Amino acid sequence: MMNRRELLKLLGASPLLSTDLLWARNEQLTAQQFRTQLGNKPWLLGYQSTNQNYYRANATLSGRIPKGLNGTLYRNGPGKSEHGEFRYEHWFDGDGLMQAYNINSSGVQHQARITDTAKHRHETEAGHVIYPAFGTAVPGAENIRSPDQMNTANISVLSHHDRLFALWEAGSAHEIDPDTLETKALHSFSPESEGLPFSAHPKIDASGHLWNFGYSTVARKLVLWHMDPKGAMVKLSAIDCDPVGMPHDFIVTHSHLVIMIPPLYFEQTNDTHSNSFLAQHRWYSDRATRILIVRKDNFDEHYWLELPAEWVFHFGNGWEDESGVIRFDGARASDPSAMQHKFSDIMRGIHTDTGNAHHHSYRIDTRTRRISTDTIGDQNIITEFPTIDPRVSCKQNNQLVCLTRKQDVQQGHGLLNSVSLLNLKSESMTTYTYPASQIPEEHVFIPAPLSEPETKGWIVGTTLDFEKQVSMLNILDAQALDAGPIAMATLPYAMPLGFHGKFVATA
Amino acid sequence: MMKSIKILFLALSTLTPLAAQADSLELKIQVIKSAKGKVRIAVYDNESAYTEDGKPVAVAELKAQTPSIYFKTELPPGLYAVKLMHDIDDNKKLNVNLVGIPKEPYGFSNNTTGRFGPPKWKAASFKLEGNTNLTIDLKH
Repeated sequence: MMNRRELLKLLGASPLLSTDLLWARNEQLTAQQFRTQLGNKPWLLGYQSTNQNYYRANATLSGRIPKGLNGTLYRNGPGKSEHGEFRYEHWFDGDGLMQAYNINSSGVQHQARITDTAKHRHETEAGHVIYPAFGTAVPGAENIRSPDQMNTANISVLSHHDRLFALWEAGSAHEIDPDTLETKALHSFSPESEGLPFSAHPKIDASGHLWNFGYSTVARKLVLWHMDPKGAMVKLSAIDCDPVGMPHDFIVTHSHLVIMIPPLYFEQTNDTHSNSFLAQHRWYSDRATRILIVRKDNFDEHYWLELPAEWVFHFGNGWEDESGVIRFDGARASDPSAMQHKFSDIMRGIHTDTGNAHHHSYRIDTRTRRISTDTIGDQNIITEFPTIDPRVSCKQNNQLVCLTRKQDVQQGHGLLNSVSLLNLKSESMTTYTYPASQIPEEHVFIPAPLSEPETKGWIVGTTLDFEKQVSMLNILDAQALDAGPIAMATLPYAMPLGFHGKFVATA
Repeated sequence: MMKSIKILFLALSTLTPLAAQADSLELKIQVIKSAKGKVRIAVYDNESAYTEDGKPVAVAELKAQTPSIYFKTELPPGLYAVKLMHDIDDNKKLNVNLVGIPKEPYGFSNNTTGRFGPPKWKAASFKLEGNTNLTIDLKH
């Protein structure tokens, strides 16, 4: 019987060679296999590993940078996804790559740097992967004593008390130099919080206070964080949560924190070395999504509500009216199949439609302790990566920026293709669809100086043009989004697709 | 006070052969970075006691010394597993953070670690057959 190498040789360079049948899901993915797929499916460029630790270039500008837009868009995502011939099998596993797009009247300057986590440092020294990963079973991986040993710092960005952080989900934040993107250190907000899970979507409320949660799968606890505007710890607490699921984002209102626990439960297998952390989770479609409501002023005061099984990666915003009714919105999917399967398929070059979330609203009446949910807008529209004008964070918002795609539009890359501004009151949507060769990433709302919230400003985000093999920064007028970019800054190279960013205005 | 007397008694008892046939188990514990506090050692001879923090067959508390210390005891031949910790603040417990991750150095026989929590008996246990010397590296 011929082995896979012989079969590949026999099939030669035929287009049929790219057939996904050659890559059974239970086989270890190799970098060479990915390169072969990339030749046939150019959109896979978004999942190509970085091959250097630092990138720097001036972008080529078309259009004009609008007056008043002055600052840096920091973005984070997986960058280094290969070590030699070893290739991670899940999009979420690559070592973090921090990017900075400095936008000013003279144009856009770009930097990108692999975050110097302990994991990256040790594995670079060893010349091979050492530690377990979220979605890849790493052969021979060491057992770890703390999640920070496998911390890739690859999900999102936090800017608070004049400091910049690269965030992961299950461990500590890494402090990053905002000018050079060099890694300063693993950050502890206080001695007692050392090594505790600090999730990737902390919220900063109107008073500048920072709120976050973290989850520990092993301890079956949720950790709740509250820091003052100077980054000093105000409160730190742990709440029992058994099972703990895999909550990714949460809601902060004037008085409450809201955390959704989807029924994706950790069930440790006997052979933990042959299964990734993700593979040891099981989705229970017949069990409830549990919703924890916690008082901001007293973490001990909390209660639970339930909804049917559902999966929300990202919420847009949450707020609470004077009568005690909480409202929030999120990109809701019926299950986590995108994370469980599709983001692995995509790393193998298997075409898959990853979009399965539609925007929903949620209402919690804290007086009657009841929760209800409803759809928002056209349910033929797939949404993800919702963001808001940062000035309405944790307060009533009327607008939402999100990536979208019409459900019946098929893309070769299986991701979203448009950026939209959703009016939450009228449920109307203004949309700009990027050219078919561009894959948009998260877009953020940048307010115009001295403007009223959710009025004048710019919607700014990156795209990967996989035909031209370049990444681009796009600037759109928030009040004329459907007209498309008013300025585009094109890099001389392509960056891997990432996750989340934050804009930091120049003082 | 009663607890420390009990620990001391158990420690002294391990200096005496427990059975007619006894092998010596000598542990080298390293790397001890601080001479503060005590190194606390517990030896188990069965899975349930090991897993459920039941009664050890030998315990000891030794004053910490850098960079390593030795501990010797006599035990009948058989299967054993060792848990130990450097109790730097001498509060007789392993300090952990809010989600149970140790904040003081600790170690297990076979230098094993668990993937999701402490290592299982199967990974940490070893056969005492004749005089045996083991080195246990503290996990910091």
